[in-house]
Amino acid sequence: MSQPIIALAALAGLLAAGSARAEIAVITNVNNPATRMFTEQAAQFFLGQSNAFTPIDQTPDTAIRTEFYKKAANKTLVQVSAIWSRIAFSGKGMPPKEFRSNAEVKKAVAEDPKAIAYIDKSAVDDTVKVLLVIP
Amino acid sequence: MTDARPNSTWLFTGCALAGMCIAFSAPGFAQTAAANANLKFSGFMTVTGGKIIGGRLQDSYEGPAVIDGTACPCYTADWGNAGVYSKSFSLKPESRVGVQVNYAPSPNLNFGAQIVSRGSDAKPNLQWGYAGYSFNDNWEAQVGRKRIPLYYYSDFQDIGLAYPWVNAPPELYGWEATNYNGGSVRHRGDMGNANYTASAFAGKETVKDSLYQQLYYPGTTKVTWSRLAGADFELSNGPFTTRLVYMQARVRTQNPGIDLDTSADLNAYGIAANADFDDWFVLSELTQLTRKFIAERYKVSAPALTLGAGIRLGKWTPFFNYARYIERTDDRSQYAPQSFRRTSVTLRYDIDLSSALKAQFDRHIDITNNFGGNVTLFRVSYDRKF
Repeated sequence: MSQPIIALAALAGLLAAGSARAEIAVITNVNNPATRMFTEQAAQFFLGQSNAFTPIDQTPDTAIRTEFYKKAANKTLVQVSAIWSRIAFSGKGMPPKEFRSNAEVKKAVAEDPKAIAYIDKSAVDDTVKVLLVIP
Repeated sequence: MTDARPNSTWLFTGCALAGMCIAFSAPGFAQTAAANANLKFSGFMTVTGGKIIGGRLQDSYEGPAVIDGTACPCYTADWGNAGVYSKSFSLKPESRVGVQVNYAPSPNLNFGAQIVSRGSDAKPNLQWGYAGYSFNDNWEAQVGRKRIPLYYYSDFQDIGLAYPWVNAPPELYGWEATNYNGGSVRHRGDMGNANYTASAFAGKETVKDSLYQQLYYPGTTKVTWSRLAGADFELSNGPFTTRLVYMQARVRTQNPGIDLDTSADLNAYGIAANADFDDWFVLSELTQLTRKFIAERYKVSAPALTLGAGIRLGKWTPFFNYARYIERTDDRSQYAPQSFRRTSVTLRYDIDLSSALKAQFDRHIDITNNFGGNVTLFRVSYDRKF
């Protein structure tokens, strides 16, 4: 294989990896009747505005968490933290449980029929159901 | 009247509560908590220091020379807890620490308790202590001890991380009673793209030694809010949030030492409207409280307003605010109205997701020239949650 082709293949690989990391899948339990959702609908559960679903979060040190709140709700993690402080210290609910990897999130979603969560699209498998892909 | 509440007691209590919070958040405890994820300990802390950097009593000043042990010119930053600043730097008026425990033995049942100790009131006070039951995703009932949700920020006015100011505007926030024992029901739902929450509450509160009344009267004043009932409705749609509230109570104020025993019917209306765009946000709230004194046959009404705007610039959030409180009465021979207005500028810096620093300048005008005088105040605060 000539050098330019190797370089192109490497570049394509990088782009594919980059775009795969950028795409976020919003998922639920396979037994949940919901089949699809708009971004704004998904965001409301992670901001404490509705409890029809139980949100499951990734830990704050994960890149996907920052990206998810930016893309889904246009909010920084500081804003989200302030929102949940308000809810948690006034008897209106508790912040979502946090998990440190896509695999742990999928496991938690598989155990709760009301769960809603977000993972890298590339991590989706048949243990969860995709409601929405955020590019 | 001198302030007999010692700094050392406050510091001891505050440190003990903060120590509990840090212990709870230590890795060993986190593992224990993870094993029983239905039990959660959390807490918050605000350390605020401030002083009056400019101000004097005008020759025509008709108010007290000393308010709750603080020489005037002085500034009441927290009416409900008698937090008053003077020309000497102090951490006491607004600093506080709280711990909270939540326990959810089943998906439908939950218990919560929150204890807060303050620089202005070192004794740990139960702010929240309730049992909640969710009938479904939309309906929940709570019984126990809760905050009176009179204002938009009432439920979480101790949580400095949740707002841009050093503290919630005292022109609105802060009466003799801030909590009640009773019950509430809450309904959550959606209308199109909007989410709403509607709640109704009823109960009673007895404050045996009102800190609020220490601002006005010597000795011990007992305040009772009975027949307390109200309802609120909050609607969120994209960047816009609107809240309406109505509340009523029978307020009895008793101080045998000065032969005081009055009863008044209190009613309050309020609207809050907030807009939160990508970077800009606007917070506003307008309320009117009216007290009809039954035996004395006079009325005091008090419209109050706060309006502010801020912009998020990365970790920095400058915020400008205007607030005012105007009292009116139909019998000046029995009641001398008090009115204030204040402009403030706050700069908040978010250290991380759980802590923030704020600095704030306030220019406060004692319009009726009878409670504290005109002052310029400077405060810094550190907010943290555990």
